[in-house]
Amino acid sequence: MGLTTYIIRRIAVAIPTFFGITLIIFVLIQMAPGDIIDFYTSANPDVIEDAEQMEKLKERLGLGQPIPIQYFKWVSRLIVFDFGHSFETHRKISEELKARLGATTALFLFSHLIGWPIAIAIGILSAIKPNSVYDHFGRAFALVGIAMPAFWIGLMLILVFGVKLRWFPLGGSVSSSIEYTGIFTMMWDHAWHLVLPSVTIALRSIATTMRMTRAEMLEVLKKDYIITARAKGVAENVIRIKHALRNSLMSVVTLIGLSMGYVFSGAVLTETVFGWPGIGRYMVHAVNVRDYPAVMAVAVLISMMVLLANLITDITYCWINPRIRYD
Amino acid sequence: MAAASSRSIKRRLLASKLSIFGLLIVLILVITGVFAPYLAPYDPNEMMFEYVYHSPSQDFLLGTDALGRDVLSRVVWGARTSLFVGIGATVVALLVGVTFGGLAGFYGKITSQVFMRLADVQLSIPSLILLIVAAAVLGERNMPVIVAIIGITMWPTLGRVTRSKVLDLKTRDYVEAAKIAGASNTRILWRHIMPNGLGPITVIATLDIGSAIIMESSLSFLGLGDPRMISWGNMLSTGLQDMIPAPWMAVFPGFAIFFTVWGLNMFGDALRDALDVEA
Repeated sequence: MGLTTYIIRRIAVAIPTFFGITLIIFVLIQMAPGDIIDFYTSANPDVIEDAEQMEKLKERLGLGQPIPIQYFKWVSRLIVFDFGHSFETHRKISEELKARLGATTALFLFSHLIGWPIAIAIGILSAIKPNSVYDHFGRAFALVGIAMPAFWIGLMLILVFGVKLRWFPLGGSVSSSIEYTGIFTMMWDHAWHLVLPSVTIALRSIATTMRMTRAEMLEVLKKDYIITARAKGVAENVIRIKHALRNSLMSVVTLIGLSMGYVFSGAVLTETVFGWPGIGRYMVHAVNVRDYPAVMAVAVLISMMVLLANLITDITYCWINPRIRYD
Repeated sequence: MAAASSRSIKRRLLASKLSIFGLLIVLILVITGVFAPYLAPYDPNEMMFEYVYHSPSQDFLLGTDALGRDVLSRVVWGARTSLFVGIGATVVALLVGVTFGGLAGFYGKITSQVFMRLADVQLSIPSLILLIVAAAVLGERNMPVIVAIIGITMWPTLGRVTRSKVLDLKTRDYVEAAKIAGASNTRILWRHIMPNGLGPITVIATLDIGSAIIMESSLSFLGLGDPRMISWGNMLSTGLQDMIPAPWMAVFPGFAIFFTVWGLNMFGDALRDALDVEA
């Protein structure tokens, strides 16, 4: 089976999953007690005066049609990224999301930039020297990192580095009181706000990635070709970097894709802790004001990103390691 | 694992220091939760307005909050909530997961396909996101309902493991023998397959208790839990707002969550090693 066939097959599997996801989210929202229209009117108490207006509104929101039709209309609009209009602001939800996606992406990239090098470095060190200080540190850190809720790590970071030491701001993405004197002061200000939320997300991914790197490294170091290389007299450092690390990194890289779900769940919590203006905080806000189209939009968007990341991970993995295709 | 008698499992479990430590933490949680009314120094809801934002002292070991309520007493009562959430949600997950997984493994291809596709789809929505959507839908958020939905978000892993275990076990000779002897499907499922598939299910369920506690506190922290319950997540949510006047409010409930989940994870890991299962 060629790579193209594999890709096509993999995408064909993803399509029913897409419909499954949207169906679950749609059905859940339909289970809301009362009529969706009630939530619209409770978010906008001034718009409705009489029954006739109510009917018109139902018409406009497409709520008069049978539920299966509503679902298909919603899904077909989703495909072109049309999420409808917000109950709260009446703006297009796609616009609302676009305004917030940048902040979440920045958080995502920055946290990986901090997390991955540290995780891989400690992972390698603890694999090369099992039972060393690094290894013990790594093991303890992994246990602690997994048991700590992400939002509490954030709270403690704010408490120590924001409230007590005053090194970093307590939240938000920009300082409100500063007049920017140039592009550098602006970038500096943004980066300064990014540090604590990114570290919060990074700590969690370090905990898992580190152990994964270690396990993979140990596995690879036992392989025959490593022994052959050693027998040939290849320097130990060359073996570690060129032979072992390269091969173990492959499966570690797939973790990036598979950890997307955790990253987004973490983002919802972290953004709430730090008042970070991303899509996670938008979702929580939308739930609180019962802005259903917006809740559905963010849920679908995040699930789609996770689905896409898994797809890309599988394809990349298969491209790097062609043997996998025959499984 | 069929060879491992219950005594040797117990011995192996107690041989590891981490598992004893984990078990100890779990025991503390259970005792605190059950005896909360006797252990808490104050009524957790009593507002002592003369002691608002009282920092930790001899009278109030963990300080007080914005309404003058004793933080220690609330942490103690929070253990009861977490215990309820952890056990309740895991029981729900077990009921759904083992039933669906068992049916999917035992009966033919179509049942299997339906349940497992459902599990796949559900697993591709991050659980916290699914929970937030579910919480958005609830009119009034009360704890039993929240526990039920947390349990439902956790079923797929248990379902998958149960299915693969059943698939593996149903081709064994002793199951064949039981079938030939005329045992009913129900009898085979409950008497022959389930007891032997218990190992991995127990391990996952133990680890799920911790996840359920984290999920409930996350939800409560976001303000989407049951606001009337004394839960560690709710306490942290107010702790965030009162960070500057009363930093202790953000510290102690977090430690409670951390130690509880840490203990459960260590115990679960030790159980995995003792039962010698891959889960």
